[in-house]
This record gives sequence, C-alpha cells and structure tokens, in this order.
Amino acid sequence: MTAEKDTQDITIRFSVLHRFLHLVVMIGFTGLAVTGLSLGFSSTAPARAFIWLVGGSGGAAWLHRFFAVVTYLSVVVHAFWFIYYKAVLSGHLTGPLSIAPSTKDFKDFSQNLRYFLGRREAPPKFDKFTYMEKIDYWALFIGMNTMGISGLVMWFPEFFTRFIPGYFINIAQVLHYFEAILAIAIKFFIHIGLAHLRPAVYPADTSIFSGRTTKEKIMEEHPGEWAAAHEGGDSAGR
Amino acid sequence: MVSVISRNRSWLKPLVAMCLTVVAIPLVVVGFAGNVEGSAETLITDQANWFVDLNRFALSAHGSFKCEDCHGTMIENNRSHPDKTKPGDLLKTANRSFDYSRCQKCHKLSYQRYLEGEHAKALSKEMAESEAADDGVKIKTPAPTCGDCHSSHYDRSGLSRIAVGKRMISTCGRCHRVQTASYLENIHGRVGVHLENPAAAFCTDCHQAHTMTSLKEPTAALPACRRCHPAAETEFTNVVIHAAMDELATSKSPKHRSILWIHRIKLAVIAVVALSLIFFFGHSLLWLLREVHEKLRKH
Repeated sequence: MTAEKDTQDITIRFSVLHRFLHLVVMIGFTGLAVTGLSLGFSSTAPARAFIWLVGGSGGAAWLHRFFAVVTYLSVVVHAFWFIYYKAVLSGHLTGPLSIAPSTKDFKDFSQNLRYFLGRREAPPKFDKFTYMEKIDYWALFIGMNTMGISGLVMWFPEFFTRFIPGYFINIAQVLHYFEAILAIAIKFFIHIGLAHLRPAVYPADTSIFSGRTTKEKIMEEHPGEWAAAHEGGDSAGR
Repeated sequence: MVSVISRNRSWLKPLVAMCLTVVAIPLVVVGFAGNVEGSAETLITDQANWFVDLNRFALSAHGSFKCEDCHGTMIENNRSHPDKTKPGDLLKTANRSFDYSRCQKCHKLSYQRYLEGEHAKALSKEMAESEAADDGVKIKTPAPTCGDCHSSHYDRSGLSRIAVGKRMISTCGRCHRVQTASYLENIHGRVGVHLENPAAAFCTDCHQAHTMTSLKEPTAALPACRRCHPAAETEFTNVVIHAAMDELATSKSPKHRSILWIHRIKLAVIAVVALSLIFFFGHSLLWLLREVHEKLRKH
C-alpha cells in the first residue's frame, strides 16, 4: 500500500464471497477452455502437446469434467446466495445495485452508442453494473446451465438415450462446441478487454480480486452505484 | 523503500507479455502447420509393382517365408509362369490375379470371416458382372481382395493398436472416404487417431476386421456399441457416428432425417454465434476507438 492510496476514499465493491466465486469460475472456465479446445481441435499440434502433458485424452477428459463440476458448483453456491441475499439480507433483486436487466439498460445502450459515435460528450451514468457487465454475467450464468446440460448428455449418453433420441447426442455435441467457441471468444477477448485492457482501466482493474476500489473510480464508471449505496449519506469514505 | 521498488517494476509487465508472445506465436504457427492427415505410411500402393524390395520384405511379417510358400511352383496350368506367350499379364495388377485362397493355409479364421463378409459379397458381385460384360471393362472401385488391404510383402507384425488404427484411415479411407472423414470429426476418431488413445474405437472395432459388418440395423449395431458402452440400449445405436451430409445422397433411412436435423441446427447455431460475435466485437471496437480518441484529444 502506498501512502498515496491511503488518502483516497477506499470502498468495498465486491463481497468476499463474490471475489472467491469469481476466482473459482475464472480458474474453472480457463481449465474448461484449455481442455475442451484440446479435445475439440485435437488434430492440431498444441492440442496434442497439451493432451500429452496431461496424460492422454483420458486425462484431459477427466480434467474437463473436474473443472466442469467445480465451475458448476460455484453456480449453485451463487444461486443459494441469491436466496440468502433476498431472504436474510433483505436485499433488492432489482434496482440500481442489482444485476437484473432493467429498462435503463436499453437507454444506457443507446446513449453509449451515441457516445461512441461522438454524438454525446460523456458516457451514460451507469448503475453498479453496466449493460455490458450484465450481459457478461447472464451469458455466463445461463451458459453454465446450457453447457452443463449438453455436457451432461455427452457424459452419460447411455443413460440419456433411454429418454431422448440417439441423434440428440450429436445435437448436444454441436451446441456444446459452438457455444464453447462463443463463450471463449467473449470471455477471453471481450470480457478481459473491456474489464482490464481498454485505455481507461489499463493495465488491470483489480477490484474483482481485492474487492476494493476508490470513490473517484466509482463516480467515474458507475455513478449510479454511489448514489444508490449512499442514499443516507452516512457511510461514505470507509 | 517498498513503494520505490514496486514503482520500479513497471518493466515487468511488458516483459511478461513479450515472453508470452514469444512462446505463443511459434506454438500457434506450428499447430496450424502441423495438422495431420492420415499417416505417412501408405504401403498398400506399393503392391501395384511387380518388383519386391527384398530389404523391406525381410523385415515384414512374412519375411522368413520362401517365395514358393505363397506363389507355389512357377508352373501354372502346365505352363511356365509367368506365361511368356501372354506378356499382357504383367500389365494387370497382381491383386486381381493372385489366388488369395492360399492365404487360408495359415489365416484360416480370417479367410472364413472374409468369405462371409461384405467385401467378399461385393467381390463375387463384381466378378459376375465382369464376366457378363466385355473383358476390358474397368471397374471404378474394385471390391477388395486380401491384398487390397494387406501388403503381403511389406506389412509388419506386432504393430501397436494405435499404429494399426491409424493405418485404417488410409487403408479403409481409400474407398470409404466420406466415412473416414466423418469418423475423424467424431469423438472416436479424434480421440483414437489424433490423440492416440488406445481405448478409442477404430474402424474394425465396430465393423469387424474381416466380416466388415454393416451396422445399419440396430440389432447389428447394438453389440458393437456394447463392447465399450455396456449399458447401451437400442436407442443408443441412433447416435450418429458418420454424420456426413454426403451420405444423404445414398441413404433414405431414419439416419437421413437425423443428419439433416443435426445439419440444420449446426447452421442455426453458427448464425447465432456469428451475429453475437459481430455485435460484441463491433461494440468493443467502437468503445476502444472512442477511448483512444479521448486520450489523444487530451494529450
């Protein structure tokens, strides 16, 4: 910690559970991507080199399923947290601090596009989560479930063909493959690019790992969040 | 003190990025250049030559044999062989004229299975047709004899399961090109041929080596599936292994309908993925350009 930072208004933006889950999903998703791409593009040399490294395709398949279970467990934990947040913490599932989509997102989107094109001086006043962050979140939350289902069907084809036609296994493969490519392209390029690498935040935004950020940053990127979190005006500047 | 050190680490990030790039680029280049297409060994085509490379023959499974063990006395139908009055014989491929029933002297079971199988059926059909037609008719894809799949002079014994399996890609693939391509796209082919997992199923693991069973009927396919998937039930046989659109021209089965649906869904998914990527990358590019513009305008 530098002295310079202590003088700034440091505030906690992500709770310890959310930081932990992000870390688990980050490792799990990367593991899934690396093992999955190696199985999917198995004719390429890096894929075969990696498969050799993990002890053959059996090892890669085992790792892929291990990471899948770990990643999906974090989805389950997160779903339970939602119940806890609503029932025990009496939190709001909608509103400026929520990840739920709202009509403001569409307004923000059109305003942001106008900002990109130079028709507007400043970006819109985002709440705690911008529409891009919400898409990022829901793509993962829904994607983990659909990938989980198609993956499970391929994991136990003997069991599932007792209830569904055999060629649904093939369809599950098609869906799993292309959804994986979409997810990897978005998470590794768009998500990392927008969260860490664009000029305003480069080289990294560490708040999802440390939970900490400054008032200045929040006012810049998520002005709606500060307003909603400090309605009473008493808990500022922790 | 501490802060000074941490501030001076600004060289670290570019260095790490540079190292990663230096490692990653050759890996990617090698990866795409090194795509494998079958194995380099295509020994079967060597059969089309009447000359035998004795160095390679000596290393083969039959290397300890005398020529006469398979080729008999050099007298055939009371005439010396090769028949000097009919030099045209040498222009024909040996695979069509050699009497492969001689193989059963040692390979009795394999030969019996071959006679019961689809390849032998195709061969007898072909022979009946060529007898009916003129002598000079050329058949496009001749039904295989022993020598079309096995090289009696050069094939070695004791090859690993992977090596044999990989050779099937070129051996079976000479005639069954569509099936080989779709097999290599399927998980069995990817895991077996590309990732060299001996537990994966190669061509003959499902279709048998010499009987060459057609697995169109579920009753025929189920035992093949159950060799590795013991819990499989009848519907499991409708999982499509050779999901090739090319096959649709020749088949009008329920599989036809399945492949068509797989293909339609694939097209729809590709469209969704492409549109999503265009949106996300376009949006991000605009965002990036705007922020670069903000920076450039200020400094």
